[in-house]
This record gives sequence, C-alpha cells and structure tokens, in this order.
Amino acid sequence: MNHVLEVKNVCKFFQLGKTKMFGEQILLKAVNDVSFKLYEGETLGIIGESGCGKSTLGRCIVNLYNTTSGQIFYNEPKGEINLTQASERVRQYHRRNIQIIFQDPFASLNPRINIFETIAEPLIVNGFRKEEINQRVAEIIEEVGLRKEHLRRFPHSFSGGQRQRIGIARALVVGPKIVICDEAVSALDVSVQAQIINLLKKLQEKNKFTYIFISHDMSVINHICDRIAVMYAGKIVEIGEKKDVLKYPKHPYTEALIGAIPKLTNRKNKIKRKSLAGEPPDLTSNMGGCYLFDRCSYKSSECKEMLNELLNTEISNHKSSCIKRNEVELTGL
Amino acid sequence: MKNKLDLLEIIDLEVNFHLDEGLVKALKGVSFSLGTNETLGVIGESGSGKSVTAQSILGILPQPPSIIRKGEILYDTGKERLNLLELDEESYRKIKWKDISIIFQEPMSSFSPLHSIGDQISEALITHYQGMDIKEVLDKCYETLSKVGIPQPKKFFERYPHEFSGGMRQRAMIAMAIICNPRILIADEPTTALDVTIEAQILELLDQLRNELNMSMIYITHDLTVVSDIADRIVVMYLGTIVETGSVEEVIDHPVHPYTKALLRSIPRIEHSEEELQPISGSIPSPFEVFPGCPFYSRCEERIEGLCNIENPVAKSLNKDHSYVCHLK
Repeated sequence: MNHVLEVKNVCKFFQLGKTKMFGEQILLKAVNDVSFKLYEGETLGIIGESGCGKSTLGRCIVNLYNTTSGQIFYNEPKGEINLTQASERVRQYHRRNIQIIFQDPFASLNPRINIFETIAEPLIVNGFRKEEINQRVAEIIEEVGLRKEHLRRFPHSFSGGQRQRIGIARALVVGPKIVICDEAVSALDVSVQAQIINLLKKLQEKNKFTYIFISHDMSVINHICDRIAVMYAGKIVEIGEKKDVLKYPKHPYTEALIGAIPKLTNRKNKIKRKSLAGEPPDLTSNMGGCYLFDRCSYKSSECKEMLNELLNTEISNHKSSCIKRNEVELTGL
Repeated sequence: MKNKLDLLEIIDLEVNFHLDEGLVKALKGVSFSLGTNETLGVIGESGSGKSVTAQSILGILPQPPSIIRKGEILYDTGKERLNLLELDEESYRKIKWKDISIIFQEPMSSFSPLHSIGDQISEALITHYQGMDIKEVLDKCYETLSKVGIPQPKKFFERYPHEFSGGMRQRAMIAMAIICNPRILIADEPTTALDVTIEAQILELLDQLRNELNMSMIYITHDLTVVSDIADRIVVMYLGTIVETGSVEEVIDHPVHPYTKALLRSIPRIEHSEEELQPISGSIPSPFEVFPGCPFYSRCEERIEGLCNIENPVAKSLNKDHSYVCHLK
C-alpha cells in the first residue's frame, strides 16, 4: 500500500522560560523524535495519556505548530512534498488536504458566526467561488446528519453531539485526504459518542479518507482503528497492527494500558484491573535510557542505557522500543 | 443484598433551578437508599441530575438559583434519624466532612491555590475536634496522607496544590475527605479527569479505603464500566429521574429499562470490537423543555405512542433488589 504521509524524526520542544535570570532555558520536550508512515485509507490510532504529546503531534501535522526539527512529507501522485520546508504558499495549498477535528465542541466553534459561515470559512480561505461554496456546504451538512435549516443558527442552539457534527463538517468540506481526529469523541456523552464514531466510520467508507485518530481511550481506538501507535513521554513506544498490539503487546507500557481498561463486569466474576505504579516523567528533565524505567516491573540495568529507538519484533510491521520485547511474556487482551 | 440497615435514605426529592433562561427541573422526585458498608453507583449522562443529588445531600447546592421543592434526606446517626433538609446551618456543619464527605471531579479547581495542602487537609480536623493539640493534628494528617499512598507525607504537607500532578492531587482530595473517618463518602466523578492508568490506581485505593474504614460510598459517574467495577448496587438516572435500580449483577446482566439497555449497547467494549456500535438516536432533550410522560420517550425504541408520551410511568419492581420505571411489561 502507498503511504500518504510520512513523519520523520519530528521533534516539538516548547520553551518554558528560565529558572534564573541568567539560568538555562527550560525546554519541554513534548514530541521527541517521532517517525511513522501513514498508509492510504487506513485509520491509525495514537493512544497515550495526557501530556504524552499525542495532540502536539497532531497539531504539528496540520501545521498549527511549527516543528522544532524533523520533516513531514505529504505524498501526492505527482511526488512527495516536504511540508516542513515548503514555502508558505505551498503549505497553504496543501493544508486543505490535511484537516483536523478538535476535542471540545464548545470551544472550537466561534459563537458569533452562524453555522453556514463556520463551515464556509475554510472554503473562502481556499478561494472557492460563491456558488460552489453554497453547494458544498449544503451537501456536507446533510452528510453529517444535520439539516439545511440549521445553517442559519448559531452554535449555542446545538447540543454537544450536534456541535461535533458541525466541527466534522467544517473539517471535511474542503475535501481533505487526511483527517486528524484529536479526541473527537472524548467530550461527548456516552449515548452520543457511538453516533459520532459510526458517522466517522461511514464518512470514511464513502469518501476514502485516511484518519489519524488521537485518543486516550483504548476501547474507542479499538473500535475504529486498523493500526495503533502507543505514545509515552513524547515518543512512540510501540506501533503495529491493531490485533497484534492488543493481543501480543511488545512493550510493558502497552500491557499496562490494556490492563487498565475498565471492563463491564460484575463483582462475581470481577477481573482485577492491573495498575501501573507511579506517574509519567517530567518532560523538562534530561532523561537517559528508557522513560518507563521508574514504573516498569520488568526493568533491569541495561534499560538505563537503551536508546529509545523503535526496533523490529518477531511480528512483521510491529515495532517496539523495549529492549526486552522478545524476552518477556506480556499479556494482552 | 446482604441485609443492611439504611444509613441514608432519600425520599421523593425535587429540585428546581430558576435561571434567567427559564425553569429547570433538575430532580423530579428521586428516591433511593444507601446501606451500611455499601457502594452505590449512580450513573447518568450530563443533565441527569446526578451531581445535584450529591450536592443536595451535603447541603452545598447554590440557593438561589436552586430550590429544594420537596423531599426528605434521612440520615441515621446511629442514635436518631435526621432529616438533613431541616437542619439549621450549625447542626449541618457538625455532620459535613465528619459524617458525610465528598470528593470532587476536578482536583485542581477544588483546592484553594493560596493555601498549602496541609492547611486544607487539616481544616476539617481542627473544626470538628477542637480539643486536639497541634501534634495530634499533624500526626493524623501524616497518617492519612500515607494511607492514601503519598510517599513523603511530611514534605507533601507543606506544599501547594499546583506543585502536583492530577493523580497526586486527587489522592490529597481523598485524604481530605477521609481524615475524620466519615461514614459516608460521596465520590462525584473522581476519576473522570484522570488518565486510565491513574484511574485504576484511584479506584483500587477507594475500594481498599472503604473496606478499611467501614465506609459507605456513593459513586457518581457517567461511565458504566467504572460503576460495574466498584459498585454493589446501581441507580441509573435520566433527566432528573431514576429509571432503573438494582444490584450490579441484575442491572448489567439483565437490564430492563430501554435506556439502560440502549446505554449498554452503545458503549464501545474492548471485548467486542468487531460489532458495530448501536447508538441511542437523537440527543438528550434540552433541560428547559417541558413535556408530559416518560422522559426517555423521544429516544426510546420500544415506546408506545399514546401511552408513553402522555402518562408518567410508575415504578415496578422485578424482585427484591431490582426495580424500574417504565410502562413496558
């Protein structure tokens, strides 16, 4: 399969100011040397806990943040375009191919403009003609399950689920190839969450989108994704096909994430949830070796010297950064 | 359930909010009871009135805009049964934090940023046990902090809320809630703002503390999977009413109310990822809307026109620990 996007050694560091007047600049390494390829038509899930850099990575890909270093290639039939080094005009042009859906449906819509203007805005920016704008907006609003008469209303008159549909319409109206869903269902009520998941799946089938689905919820990721990348402390620690990652995890952190998923049980046949001790590391400190070292129960002295690179495992297309990936027996689902 | 004396009983509680936009009936006659040493899971989506219930028990509902229209909250002190809604402020204060305490959802916004963790944790202790000298207070605080799994309690005591991660702050919140050995602990979405691995830690801690301290717990959440993990009994709420209640086994394995059934089908479950999710159609009605009949009517798959949208359903009980409010069956 062809890849549509390649992320190569991308880093995003934030400067946090200084400790003392002439002290050193503190750097927060939000995304630290991340590389992966995104294949056409697939859904790649990026899972991790808060502060692991998954949203920052998504925002780097849609160009909302400039990367500190590394390259992002967008693959067109005509050839590869390096989005990080291209001129502003080229970047602007390709922005329409990569769109994002945000988490909070209450904060991501402008309360002062109506729904038509909200959805039409990306089209105006991209220089579409007036008739085409009207036609596209009318089409997309029905595709996401709202009605034409909603277009004249303002965001405050919609519920959370409806607002999220508007956010989806705004992202899809320019006809992107890649859609990044940044925690797109996390803020919704459970009964509405399933509607949006099914809508995203339906739209993908129809329009052949490629999704990057960023979430902290393994059950949601499991439902919608083909491949999973697990992030921890700014790095991808494991990446592979969904069933391989969930059934045969090759990194202790993935095992812990799977073990922590709440399951619908009752007290009689209660399965004890495994919890990982401790908390994620401080991303401003200079760490050597494995970032999970303090929390891992399989650690040994070699782990302190490892390089945090993704390495092949016995399963094809399944990589893990754990040096003991082939030695320890990890339990999956 | 194992026969338990009712420690807390809520009878037909009705709460209204008078807002600029109109009247919201937040609770429309809610009744349930909490037994000794029991964990009751209250589950509902936004607007179901689950947090309003918790706030009415503790007497911290903002009044106005809210008004408790009717109902009773009976609390068994061991000597007598008090109606909490009739207590004056002074006697209420004697119960708050000492007999009944609460953990809030957002550990960051529920602590004062201006006072050290220690000051805030010890406050309840100092208020309730005025004869205690400073050394006893400190010892009790250190002991409680280590009980909730904080590694260096003495250091922690001096520091401020912003210096800690969400998980640590939530542990401090729990320490504050259990420091007076309350009999009832209300946990209002205590893990919603936390990551999964931390959530698992906190749930385990709460369960362990409940056993250790012989507490009863009301656990409020929107997450059915979390409730199934921690509760003995479940109360399912929708738009200010209770639609189904029963033991975890009964409600999860044999749900009766269409809302509970639909909710169970719509959550993504890790065990069955291949099945398509079956969402509940429509969305939760606006709280300002007033309509007769069953609150779930507009979204219900099994509704009976001419009955469900006209008449209010009444509670029916299936067996000793399972009842529901619906016209069906």
